[in-house]
Amino acid sequence: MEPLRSLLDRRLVVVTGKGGVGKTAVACALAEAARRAGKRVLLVETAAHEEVAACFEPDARPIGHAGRTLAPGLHALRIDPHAALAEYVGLQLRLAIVTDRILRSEIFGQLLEAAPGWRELIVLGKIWHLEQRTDRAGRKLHDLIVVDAPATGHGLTFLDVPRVAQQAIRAGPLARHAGWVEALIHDPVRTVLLPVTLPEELPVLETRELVRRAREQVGIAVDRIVVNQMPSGNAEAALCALARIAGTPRLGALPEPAQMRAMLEHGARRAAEARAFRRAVSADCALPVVDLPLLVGGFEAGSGWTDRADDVLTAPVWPEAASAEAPGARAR
Amino acid sequence: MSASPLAGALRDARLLVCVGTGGVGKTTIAAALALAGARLGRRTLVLTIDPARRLANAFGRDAVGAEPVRVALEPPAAGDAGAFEPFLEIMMLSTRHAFDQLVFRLTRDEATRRRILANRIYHHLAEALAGSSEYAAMAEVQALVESERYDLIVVDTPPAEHALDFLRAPGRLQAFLDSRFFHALVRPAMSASRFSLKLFAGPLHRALGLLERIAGIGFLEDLSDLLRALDGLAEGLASRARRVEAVLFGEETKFVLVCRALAGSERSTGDFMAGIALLGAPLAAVVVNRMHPWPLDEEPDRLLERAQGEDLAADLRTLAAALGPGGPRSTGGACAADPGRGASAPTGAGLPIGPDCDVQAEADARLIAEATLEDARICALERRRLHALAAAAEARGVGCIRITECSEPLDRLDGLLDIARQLTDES
Repeated sequence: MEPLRSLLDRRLVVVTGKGGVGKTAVACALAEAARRAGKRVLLVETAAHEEVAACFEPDARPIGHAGRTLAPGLHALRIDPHAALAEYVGLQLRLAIVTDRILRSEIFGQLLEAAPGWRELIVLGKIWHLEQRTDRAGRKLHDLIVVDAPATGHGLTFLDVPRVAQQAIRAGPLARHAGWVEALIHDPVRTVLLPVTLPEELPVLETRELVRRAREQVGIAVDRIVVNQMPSGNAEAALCALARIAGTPRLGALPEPAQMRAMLEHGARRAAEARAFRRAVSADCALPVVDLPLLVGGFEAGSGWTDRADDVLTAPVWPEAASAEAPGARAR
Repeated sequence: MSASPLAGALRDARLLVCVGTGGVGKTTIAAALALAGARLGRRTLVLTIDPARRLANAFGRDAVGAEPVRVALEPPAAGDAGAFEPFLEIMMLSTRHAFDQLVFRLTRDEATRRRILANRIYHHLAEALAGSSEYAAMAEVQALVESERYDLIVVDTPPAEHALDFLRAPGRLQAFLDSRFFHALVRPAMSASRFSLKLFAGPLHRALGLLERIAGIGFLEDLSDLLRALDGLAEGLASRARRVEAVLFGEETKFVLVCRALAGSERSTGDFMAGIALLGAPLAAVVVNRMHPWPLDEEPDRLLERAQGEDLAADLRTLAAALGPGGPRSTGGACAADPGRGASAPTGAGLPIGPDCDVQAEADARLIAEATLEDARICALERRRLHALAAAAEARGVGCIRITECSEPLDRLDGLLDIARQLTDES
């Protein structure tokens, strides 16, 4: 099998996953790792609530639609669909300034509230536009664009909108532009979808569905799955060692061996279970996995997460090959 | 009797709605609440959103479907005077195609149904009607509440980007059906086959004009045709939405906010509580789920304070001596499958243990200490977050319940019973 290309060799990495799996954290880690590798990175938020700035700055100011630089080589922005629509109408369609009044009118607001898919289409259009941008020397302005996409379900609908839009809108400039966006999403060289999951039942089920739809429906490349919050094997290894202790040594600071055993059993069971789910998601999706450790301090600014950002770039592994006799089966 | 803030709600409420962000274990808590309700003698239904197979297994089934099925349960206390057979049913509430079903149910003639289905933008419009699937799912809940088949219905809610969207969905649907935009596009004067902008004046004209420039005339024709087909349903949908709101925010409904004590939980839980308060929904309790178990009497912070420096080094020496020479760990029968360790540096790596210790025993002693202290660090941090969550809940007059992650696997009824007991404070 060919070695996988690094995520850093892509132009566009779309990070998605079930709510609560740490999608935003993974997007931040990838952006940070790429920045440290000398890439000029653009980190794009698509949710209504901004989250990434708080991962980099203790008292984060909003980054907004215009965006700002969070660290050397790392620019971040949150695409506001309404602002992006105004840009699109003004720049791409070259319609008169007077349209601004229409865009802000109550009736157009009602129309937008109900209109299908325009938010997704306009946000993706903006990402397409950002990907095209070049500096004066004609060089691309950003080496890598990392998109913190909406959660699964919403996330795939999001990516599928350009294709659907071309069916719904039969002609006109919007249909043409949707075609350009679709071409970027379908380009397996420039673009990759990065699913994030947890080694737990429901996230794994949802990831399987996500990968299936990404392949069959959307047609976006997927080459690995990030398994976030993988427990370390420390509890299991420590339990093995504890089993060898003879007698009842008197300890001063640590709990009695029997108590330590009681403490560690829970973690050991969770770790074995996690490995079983990780193996299952890899086998079901026929994709290798990248493990990210559980960072107890979370991804707030100053928690030290940036020291582990490079973990997201480690080469994906196939769990079966790594541990054919994984101890998942002998748990409990 | 118990002091659980949920005890009253489980006895008196007709609808319990579990809300919270993704990944906190809402489905499990909903199932455990339903189990607790059934054990109180109430005829109970639990509606799940996710196809949680382990939950189905816990209830002795392979899967959960769209029809309610009875769960076989033991009577709660054998020999009790008021012995009864608990009644619990489970059903999966699908948000997929839920709006289609609702529309079709409200549509009387086949021709209109076909016209809606054939419309090229119907599916996307249905999706875009601001949480229409969530709304349709809640309409299903309302029908079940009004069916009088159950004393108590516990609902797990769909994961949504804006997790409270589904609660606002009925109101938003009403707003849309009342909007000038909707009325203008379905006006009887528009029944001409060709969509004509001449019928409109002022801002609507300009808005549609812009839309036409962007999307082309075919799009507006489709849209107008669809909205006219839906017009017959508008009254049905609107009155249904009012009834859903009446049940959802009625006297006999209580909300349960499920969260975890993780980084960032305090903010998201605070946002959630504020959102629920804004909607005027009564919050029965905040459930902090999946707390790491801590079997010691001593607080984890205290253990971490003591176990450092020379005290820890002395313990490491004692442990290494008790481990003896041992030999390579990987050949020990029971522990053949050493899972490989995390990359974190062992605690006290710089501390001298002593020249007499076996190298392997020394490494193992460090391993034991590190794993123990790692556990304590996780628990200490979790407890600090729990206290912050409890304080935030208390500030709103809401009780907080801590659920320790179950030692029983969740695909067995014992696991759910354990959580049900924790929720109701039974000892």
